[in-house]
Amino acid sequence: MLAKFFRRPLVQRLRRSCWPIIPLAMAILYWGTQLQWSVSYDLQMPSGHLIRLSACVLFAVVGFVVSSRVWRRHTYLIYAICVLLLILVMFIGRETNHSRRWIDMFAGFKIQPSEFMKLAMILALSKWFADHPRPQTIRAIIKPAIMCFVPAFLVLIEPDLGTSLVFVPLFMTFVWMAGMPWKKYRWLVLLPLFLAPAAWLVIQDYQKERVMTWWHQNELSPEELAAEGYHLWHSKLAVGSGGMQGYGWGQGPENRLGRLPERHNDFVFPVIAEESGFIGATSFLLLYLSFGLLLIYYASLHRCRFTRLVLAGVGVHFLSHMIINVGVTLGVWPTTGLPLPMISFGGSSMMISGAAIGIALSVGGNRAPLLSSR
Amino acid sequence: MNNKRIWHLVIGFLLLAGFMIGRLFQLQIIEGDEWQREARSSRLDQDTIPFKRGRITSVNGDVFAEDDFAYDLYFRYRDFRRMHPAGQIHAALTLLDVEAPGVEQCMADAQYWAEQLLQLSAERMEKLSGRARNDLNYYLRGMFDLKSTEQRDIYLNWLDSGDRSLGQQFPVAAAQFAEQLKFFEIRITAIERILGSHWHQTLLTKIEQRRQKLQLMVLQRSLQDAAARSLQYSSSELRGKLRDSESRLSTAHLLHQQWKLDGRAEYLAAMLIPIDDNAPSEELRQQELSQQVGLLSALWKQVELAAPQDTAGILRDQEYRVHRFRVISFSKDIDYQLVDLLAQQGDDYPGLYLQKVTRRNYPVELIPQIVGTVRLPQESNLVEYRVLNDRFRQLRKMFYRNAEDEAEYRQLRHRLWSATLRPDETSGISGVEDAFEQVLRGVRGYSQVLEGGEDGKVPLELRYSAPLNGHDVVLSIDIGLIEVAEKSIAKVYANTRQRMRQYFPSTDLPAKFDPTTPKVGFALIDLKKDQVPMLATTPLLGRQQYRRDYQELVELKNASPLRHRALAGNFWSQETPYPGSTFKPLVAAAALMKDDSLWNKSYRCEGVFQANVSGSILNCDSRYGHQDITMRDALKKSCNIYFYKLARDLGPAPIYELAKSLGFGSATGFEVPALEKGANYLVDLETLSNNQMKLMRTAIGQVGVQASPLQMARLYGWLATSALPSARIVLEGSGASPAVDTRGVPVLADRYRKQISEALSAVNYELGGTAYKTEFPIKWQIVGKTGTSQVSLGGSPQPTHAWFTGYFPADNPQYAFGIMCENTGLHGGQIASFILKEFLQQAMPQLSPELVVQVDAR
Repeated sequence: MLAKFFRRPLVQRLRRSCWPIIPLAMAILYWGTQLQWSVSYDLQMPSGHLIRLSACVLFAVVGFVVSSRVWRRHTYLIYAICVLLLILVMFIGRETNHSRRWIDMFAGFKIQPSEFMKLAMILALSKWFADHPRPQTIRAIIKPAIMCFVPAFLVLIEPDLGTSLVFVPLFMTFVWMAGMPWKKYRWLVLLPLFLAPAAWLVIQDYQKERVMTWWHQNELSPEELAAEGYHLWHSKLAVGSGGMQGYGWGQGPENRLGRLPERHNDFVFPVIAEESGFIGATSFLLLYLSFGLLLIYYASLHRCRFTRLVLAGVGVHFLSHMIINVGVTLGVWPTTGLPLPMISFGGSSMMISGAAIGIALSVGGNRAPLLSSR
Repeated sequence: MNNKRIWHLVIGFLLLAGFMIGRLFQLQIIEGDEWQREARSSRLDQDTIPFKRGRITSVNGDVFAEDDFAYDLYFRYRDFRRMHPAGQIHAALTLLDVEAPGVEQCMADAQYWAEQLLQLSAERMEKLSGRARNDLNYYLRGMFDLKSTEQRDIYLNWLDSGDRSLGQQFPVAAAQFAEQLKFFEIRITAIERILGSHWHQTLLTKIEQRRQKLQLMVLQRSLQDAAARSLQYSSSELRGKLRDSESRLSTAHLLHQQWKLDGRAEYLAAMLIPIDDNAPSEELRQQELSQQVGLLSALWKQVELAAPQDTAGILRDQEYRVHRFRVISFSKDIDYQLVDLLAQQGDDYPGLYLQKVTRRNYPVELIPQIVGTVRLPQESNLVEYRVLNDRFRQLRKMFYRNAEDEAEYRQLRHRLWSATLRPDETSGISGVEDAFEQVLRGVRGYSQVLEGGEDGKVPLELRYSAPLNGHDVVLSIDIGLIEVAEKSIAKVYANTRQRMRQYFPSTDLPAKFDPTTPKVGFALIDLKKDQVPMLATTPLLGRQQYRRDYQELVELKNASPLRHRALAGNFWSQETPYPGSTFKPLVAAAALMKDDSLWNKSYRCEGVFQANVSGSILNCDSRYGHQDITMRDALKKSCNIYFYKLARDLGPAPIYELAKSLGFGSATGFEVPALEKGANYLVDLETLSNNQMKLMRTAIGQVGVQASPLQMARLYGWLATSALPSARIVLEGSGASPAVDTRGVPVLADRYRKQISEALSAVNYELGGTAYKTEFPIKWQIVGKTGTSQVSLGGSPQPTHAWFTGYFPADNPQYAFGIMCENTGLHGGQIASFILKEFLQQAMPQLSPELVVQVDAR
């Protein structure tokens, strides 16, 4: 009976896919649940998060069950729908904090198109570069650049700077993986550096304030630490005071006393660092890193370009979020609102994380022979 | 695509992750100790515990000054705003850009406003800016008690729900709010009941006034910050510029142009005046408080519209700082009922705080000049504090402190907590409070509590250091004797007219004599114990008047009751009275010590004396002169001419040397030297040597010598015992050593002492003695000398001072005294000696019971 079970197509597909990411993802999700419990008011069971967790698993299952061919065939459709949603959100989206990022669905359910756009972008760029490998010139990447930066621009004007910035490393990664020669690629690397001074002129005051606060983080006055530097200061206090072993689950003072803002969301990593110390925080980073790198490793085992690009793209998606989110909390980058997938509070992020895992499993389990590990 | 690129990707992420882990290592391991210290420090709640200043008491245990613990009531608006329904409603309405009534009206109409707020839709919420929306979420959740995680989730869903109202999302919110409201109403009533008798307003009216004053401060500071941003100055630079009126006007013109405001630049300049606390400019001060806020608010709105880049975030920032850090004193010395209430149920009264303080009480109204007073320090007293505090803050800001810096940091912290005078701490500024500051002052204690403890839950008391109270200072002063002296003085003055008719019918009472306001200094020295049990001065000065009117009293100068007439002539300069004829016994002693045959030598007194070749005439009190008169009779009858001639023949040196060695021209040694400022003048020897007139006048206690009643009492103490009394007033508490070194004091031979004593007894007990008519009981054996000192003011003569100084009893001297009655126009035997008699009649049972007499008999 067991043999019959394992002969089932889905199970076989799973066996062929990068299934080792499943336990890693489950470990991360479990950790995330523990964290949301820890940061909840009075250590109450985070029922809302459990619902989102279920949605994550559901989307993962759906993403896996739908075959890779379907995903590949309908990539541009998905991409177009997401672009449409991004345009739609400008008109019918719910305005919150002077930004329009969510579209109401039914029964109080809402979606954040920019999150869906990230996954759609991975699929779209994977398909493009799978169909047009090894771009040799800058001209050759203009179309994918438009494909990437038009949605990025739509996200930027929501406004949502943090999310729009994610598209940049994503695009850069795909161009690199697609095989652009270094001599051309280096101009892409230098371009952001040239554009940075111009960007200073167009960003808003509060964003400039964030950059200046980050730049002067070691010289802030007590008043500044209590105002614009508050998030960063308390984040570092939480991280630094964790020491080697941390305070223990639910015991971190910055968490328990409510001194760390957004600790259920963008500043969730300092809670890990405070409560489990260097050992726990490093373990978490290594777990997350393993998860992302495993996806990228599996990409190297496949011959099919689409599969390689999707797997690597999903890996990069998770890792870039981790690098940016953790970096912000450690004072490495200026503050930007980017959640940590599978850990931070947020329905759309959880759904997309689940869908990304599911799609990665699906495309990773297609019939194209694996390359040998030699 | 080859795998090499994928591996580059892997390496890239490995490096980035390695960098993150490295940064983690830096923060948690390398800098871990410092961050843990910072984290703990940010959770440390430190309170200093005041010490009790030492008491000042009399030898009988009467308390002149003592500390009591009291509680002051403070108010912090931020906590009120965040946790009290009235504050929450007001803040919510302000965020919704609704014109909010004052907090007292918000409370009165709380139910109505709650219903209005419950009709808010999520759509309306979305129209707000991010920060305003977050703040409003906070207030709404607080008001309607939606704090649990489940309710938070429901609330967040409501925010996404569109046009559903808050009341629809939370149907029980209205009822919950009503209950909460009732809860707070009861508490307000409780406080008002306790505090109401001191206030003429309700608690919320008071809070509203404070809120408006804070709002004024917020608006003014915001305007200044916006100006600084516009002109690209730092806030402190701009405030510096605004202090000068010309610079302020030019700045205002510049801003007026940049911002394109309506109205005049001068108006803007007036609004920009740097403020201390919430003191507004003249333009504003003329308006009522609410109008002031309105005017500034309108100006701010104009600036906001004209220059949003200059005003972004400023108002909220200032509100945060002012509301959080500006703690307002609400009421001092509050009732213990309220202390108890707030101590037990502090959370029920958001915004109100207790501060334990010490209050200096002065139960006894007498001798405020000697006891002195305390006051908050002036800036000049706080130099040490400021210097240490600046250095402490510098060290505290350092993330890394080496061992030396750490040691200095801990030492400074201890000093600032415990030892150094702080801005909120009183210290003595006059009298014993000032002179014995180091004795009376204690050491503060402190407690340190770690918020959240080690487990993030229960606060943990880390450190406790009990305060060390100051040491007591015991004075030799007997309050009872002072009261007796004051009554005696009042009685004698009141009876002067009658007495003059009875005893001195041939003498007219001077026109300027005022029996209702005696100006008398009366000092008494206990020769056996070498202490001062009584120092009286009139007019009296009550403690309340002393503290309340201190500055005005200083301005009165000579007339000021701040002068203690027994101690010093003048608070400001050398205007101590001449001792008059009471100085003659010193001259006699000097003469005898040089040549004892002078006791029997007689001089001729014919009433006038040509003092020198230029024809200067000196007079005697006796019109026709005393004829040939010896020293004994000269002392008895107070013959001036005798002493003129004696001084002339004696020369200046013996008189000067003896006077100097007996403390004339120096401080008495009284432990509160400031009170003797101006006393004890003695002309120098060279002047005496070169000016015979001066020498002669000095010999009769005029011109060349000035002394206080205490100083004169000391002289007579020496005449009585051959030992110069130290005249100590402070018995315990260090520093009671006299300023005058009494080791070089010459000893008056017994024979001379008896001769002078006999002569001075004759003053009181023999017919013809200047105090004979006082009719002292013989048993008292009063040895005393009357005196009359000349007084002039700006060259014009004033009514003379009347003196009586001496000791008693003659055969076994126990007490020395000095009495000076200012500007009476009478001589000592007409008033001052009567004061002594009246005093001793009341006080003798306490002073020397064996000398008590039942009837007034000779």
